[in-house]
Amino acid sequence: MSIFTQQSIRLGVPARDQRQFLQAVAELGAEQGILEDVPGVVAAMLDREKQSTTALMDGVAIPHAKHEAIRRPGVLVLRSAAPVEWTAGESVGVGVALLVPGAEAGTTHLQILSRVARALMNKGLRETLNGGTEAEIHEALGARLDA
Amino acid sequence: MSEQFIIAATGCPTGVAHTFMAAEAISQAAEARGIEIKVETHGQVGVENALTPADIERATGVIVAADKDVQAERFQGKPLVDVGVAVAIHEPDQLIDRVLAAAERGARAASSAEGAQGEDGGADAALDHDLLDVDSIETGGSGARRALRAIYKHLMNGVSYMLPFVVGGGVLLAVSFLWGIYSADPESSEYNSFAAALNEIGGVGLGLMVPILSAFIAESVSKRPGLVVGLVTGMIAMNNGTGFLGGIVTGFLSGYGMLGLSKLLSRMPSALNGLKAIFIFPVLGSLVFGLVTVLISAPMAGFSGFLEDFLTGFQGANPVILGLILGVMCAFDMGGPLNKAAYVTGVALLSDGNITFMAAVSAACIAPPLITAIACTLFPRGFEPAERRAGYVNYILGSTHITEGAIPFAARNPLVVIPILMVGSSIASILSLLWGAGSPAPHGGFLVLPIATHPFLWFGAILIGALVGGLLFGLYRTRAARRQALRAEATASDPVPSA
Repeated sequence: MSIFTQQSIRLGVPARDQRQFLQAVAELGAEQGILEDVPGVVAAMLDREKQSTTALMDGVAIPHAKHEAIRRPGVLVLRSAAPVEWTAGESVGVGVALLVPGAEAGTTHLQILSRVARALMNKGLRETLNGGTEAEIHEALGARLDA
Repeated sequence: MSEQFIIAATGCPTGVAHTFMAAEAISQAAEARGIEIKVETHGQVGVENALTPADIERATGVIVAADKDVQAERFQGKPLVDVGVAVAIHEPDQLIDRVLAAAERGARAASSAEGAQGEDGGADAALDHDLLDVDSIETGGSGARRALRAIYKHLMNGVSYMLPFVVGGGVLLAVSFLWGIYSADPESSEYNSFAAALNEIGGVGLGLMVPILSAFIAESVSKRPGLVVGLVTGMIAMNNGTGFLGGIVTGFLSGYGMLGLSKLLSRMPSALNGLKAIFIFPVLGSLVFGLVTVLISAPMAGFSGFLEDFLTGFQGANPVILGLILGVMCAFDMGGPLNKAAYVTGVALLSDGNITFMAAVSAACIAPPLITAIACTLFPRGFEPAERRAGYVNYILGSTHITEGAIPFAARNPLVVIPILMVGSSIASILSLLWGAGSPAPHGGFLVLPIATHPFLWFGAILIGALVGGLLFGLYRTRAARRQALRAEATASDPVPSA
């Protein structure tokens, strides 16, 4: 099972704030069979945000969590219908979520996740995330994950 | 200068994303300028692309962009910029600028220090003449510990910039007294125009001490905006007689204040950034924190005035009690309001003809730097190389009545060190009073020995106090160093868990 497919992308998510956005992330993850405990994973992501925001530049955030209820590693891309206020003064339109199984011992997936993070430093990719179609996003991000 | 080669280490607590984004951002920024770069990542998978000792040796500059420990002690002696991981992600270009600037300063310092350096080598001196090696102070860790270390680093940054002013000004001022105590007074028969010039130069240098301390504490906290406001508020604090402690207060006030102000104004459109830097920050910052300083300096200075009256009442008291009070006061804040209150009282009493009081104050002021110098000489193992160098300089500072030389040693662990200094100062001061030593000069240290009463007894009193304090301090540091070495061994045999 690939960690990032076109089904891992959802555009036009009707989230209004950070919590709703993260809720949508976890629900999409549950839909994809990546995780089981939606509230638990949301709480884990919120905890992580409390440590320090995961929002980057250009309205892209990378919420992430490591949790027992996450069955397999996954990368999800969600774009909300309208940008939400992430923390005070920071608005986020796109979340590239990284989900890591709690019991994971191997390091392959961690390397993939760090590859996502590196990839997001590319301005072209951020533009695609903000404005592209599902197919474009899948192609642009997927190419960098396989690299 | 040879080819630039920058190395960097990045790390964040979770070690999944920010570590690598920072690495990518730094690499891209460096490559865009054609600068060779190698970035080590401290991620959850462990250390990747690890820096070898050869890399570190060859590097012309080091960037640490981490919110966790990345073993920055490996980079000691290298031009280094230490920031949080977020800074590298958002401002990689400025970061490269900063490390290039640090490298250039380091190269200049190294070339000017070449030859002058002995077996310690030029590496330490490469840190832009930073006597206290402030850049190597780690600010890793988490929670309260991290905050405390950051505060300590800010404080030491201020002290490190301040000390050269103290030394330059203090020594010249002391030398001016060789022509006589009133050599700078045109009315006096001792007047000598060269001594008067020395006195003025020295006085100005020494007077800049508090503003510089305040400015560079603030600079360490919030860079340029802090520097401006810290210098202004430090000057106000000094003019209002709040002393060394006043400078610390205004430094942190300005530094964190400007940090807060820039947060408040961060929502302003970025088109106004230029206006912010050149107009809004200096004007608004100086106004707000200048006013605060004016308000708080009156009570701080009032406290000093109260102490002065209190002390004058004691001038005829039992020499043991008076000596104890003077020793405790002079060693308590080393140049701060308590120390200066004792000093100013001594000067005031000189005009009443009481020269034994002044001699006791001088003894108590001279002892603390000598204590640290003696401790470094007798117990070199208890001190780091940079500290030892500062310690040896303290023979000169102590001999010229510059108590401030002891500050860097006390700042590290004030709760233990200050009482030790108090013991030494009190002994010196009590013996000076008991043996009837007198000094007609308000400053000058041992340079005024020729005009002192019972000069040998006075010198002996100070020496005994400094020796007792030096033994205590040296033993304490040796024990602390041994304990630290044991701890380091214990953790080294333990595999370090990844975040």
